[in-house]
Amino acid sequence: MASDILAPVLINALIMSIIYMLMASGLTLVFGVLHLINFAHGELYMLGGYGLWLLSQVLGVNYFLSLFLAMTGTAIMGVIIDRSFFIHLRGQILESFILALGISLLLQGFALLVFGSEERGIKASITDRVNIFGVSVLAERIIAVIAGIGVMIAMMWFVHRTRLGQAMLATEQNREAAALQGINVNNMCSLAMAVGGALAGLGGGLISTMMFVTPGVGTIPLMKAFIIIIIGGLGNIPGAVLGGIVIGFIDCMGAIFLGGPLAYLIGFVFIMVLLIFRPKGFFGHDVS
Amino acid sequence: MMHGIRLFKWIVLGMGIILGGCLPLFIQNLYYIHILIMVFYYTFIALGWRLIMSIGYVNFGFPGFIAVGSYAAAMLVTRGDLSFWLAMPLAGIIGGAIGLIVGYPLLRIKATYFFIATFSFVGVIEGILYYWEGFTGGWAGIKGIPRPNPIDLFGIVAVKFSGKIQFYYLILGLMVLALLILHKIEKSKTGKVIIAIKDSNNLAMSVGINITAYKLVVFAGSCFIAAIGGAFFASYNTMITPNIFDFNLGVQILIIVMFGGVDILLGPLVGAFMLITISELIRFSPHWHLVIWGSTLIGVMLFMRKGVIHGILEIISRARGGRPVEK
Repeated sequence: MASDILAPVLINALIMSIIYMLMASGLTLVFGVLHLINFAHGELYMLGGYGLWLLSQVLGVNYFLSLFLAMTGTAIMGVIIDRSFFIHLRGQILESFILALGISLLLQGFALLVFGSEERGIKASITDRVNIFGVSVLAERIIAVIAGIGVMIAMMWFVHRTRLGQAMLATEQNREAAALQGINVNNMCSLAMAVGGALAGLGGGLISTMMFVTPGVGTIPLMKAFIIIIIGGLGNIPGAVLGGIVIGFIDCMGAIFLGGPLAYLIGFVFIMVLLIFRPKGFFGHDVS
Repeated sequence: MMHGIRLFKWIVLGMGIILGGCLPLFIQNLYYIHILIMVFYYTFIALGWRLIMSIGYVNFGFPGFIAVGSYAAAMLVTRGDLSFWLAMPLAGIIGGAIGLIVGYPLLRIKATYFFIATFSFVGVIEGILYYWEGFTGGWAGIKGIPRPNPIDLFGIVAVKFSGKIQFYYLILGLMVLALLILHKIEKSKTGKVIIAIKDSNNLAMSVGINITAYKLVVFAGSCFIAAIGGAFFASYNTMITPNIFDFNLGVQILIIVMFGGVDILLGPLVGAFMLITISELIRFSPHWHLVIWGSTLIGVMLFMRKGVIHGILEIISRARGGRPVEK
């Protein structure tokens, strides 16, 4: 295959990987700290897309500023959801999971009522093309890749290097011990939701220049993120990063060479095979 | 006292069956008959969902198993020229067998991973149904599924499936049968084992219960019910498409089960009645569906975690100044 066909495919795969990475690492962080499978995570992604659309297309705010504001908005949304709903069902995995599903339906319903079911597209503000290894690629895609990787690194730094992040990790490892050290567990849970919300919102915002935003747009990335965090291990952020790359590339390559539905099958078969032959996952975490 | 309660239960059950059996005599409007059929159909499949949930697992792949039963029955009838009465149990067995195959790897992992892994199962089944066009009919699905053959009991009773009424009795019969069998299981030793496994895997294992085998059998049983329900639906609806059995169907069944209460066998009936009634009431404003289902689920989870039946019993008992209801 000629490189001028392969290069855009690779760039797309890279972007999908980064979107999945952003989704999955937030989801896995929330699971680690809150012990919650946050089904409403896909709706934070959707709200990120709508936030960007509202700011940049309707109000005419600068693209980067609106991306930042949309991210902040979904982070605040995450905290609101945590403080008004999840706080009541702390630690009950099944119950809080069903609650999250309810919140997901509610947010999708509100989006449908407020924004309608039309597809909302966002015009890219940067239409230049750049040459990479002799292949011309849209600059906005490169910016999306850089922004995604940058925020991922910033998140890693925040979680592992700052006091606040370490307090959150401590809560993840042992809630009681963290509480005994004077860490406010509820605040840490809200913080995790804020970080997860920001990452999901960024993902939704970045992709919205390439795909349309609809109320149900968050469902598929959420499903992919679920597959990714099984591969990488629940609560394992590096695992989510690696899993994001694997699934992003399988997805893009699979969709081109085999067709979309079959790509979906591959993800599931991948999980099934993984669970049969290596029930402890790629990173040796305990799932059984 | 014990006998009194048991007798009371049988009287209630008998009255329920007689009421259900006589209802079509009073209701002439076919639209209401259709709604009742849907209530019983949803109750039936929700009983299957509840069965696996009673062991602590939520199977989001459930619509996939309904689809398997539906497509199996439809193909056996349209292409295999089989009688519906043979195709329905066969579809159930196919669903149960696929349940065994899928359940074997999935049930060995933690419940948390199980929820997540089963999500993708719906997508897989939908993908197969869309993709394998020559076999499943693709987007268009299967049309013109014939009604069940007439039942002829030794020339005495002949039932022809000419209208909705016969389907009403068929699904009512299926539902009552499922309720009776599940009730029997719950009261038996197996039922106690299921509760033991739900409460504590390790404890159940330590007293010598083969929990994996139990989980697998319960899972296959739940898939069997799903597939039988699917087969009924295929024949009743006369056409099936892949998008009938999507993730939203799973959400609806979950709402039914949670609304009625997982611990109560009749919970799905109450839940299905609520869900179908509200769906029909808001039929003309589809934009509100998601908001209403979402807030129903949130309300139940926050305020009546054990379901509405339990919640109402608790309110009554509190008003009487009694102690809270145990079960």
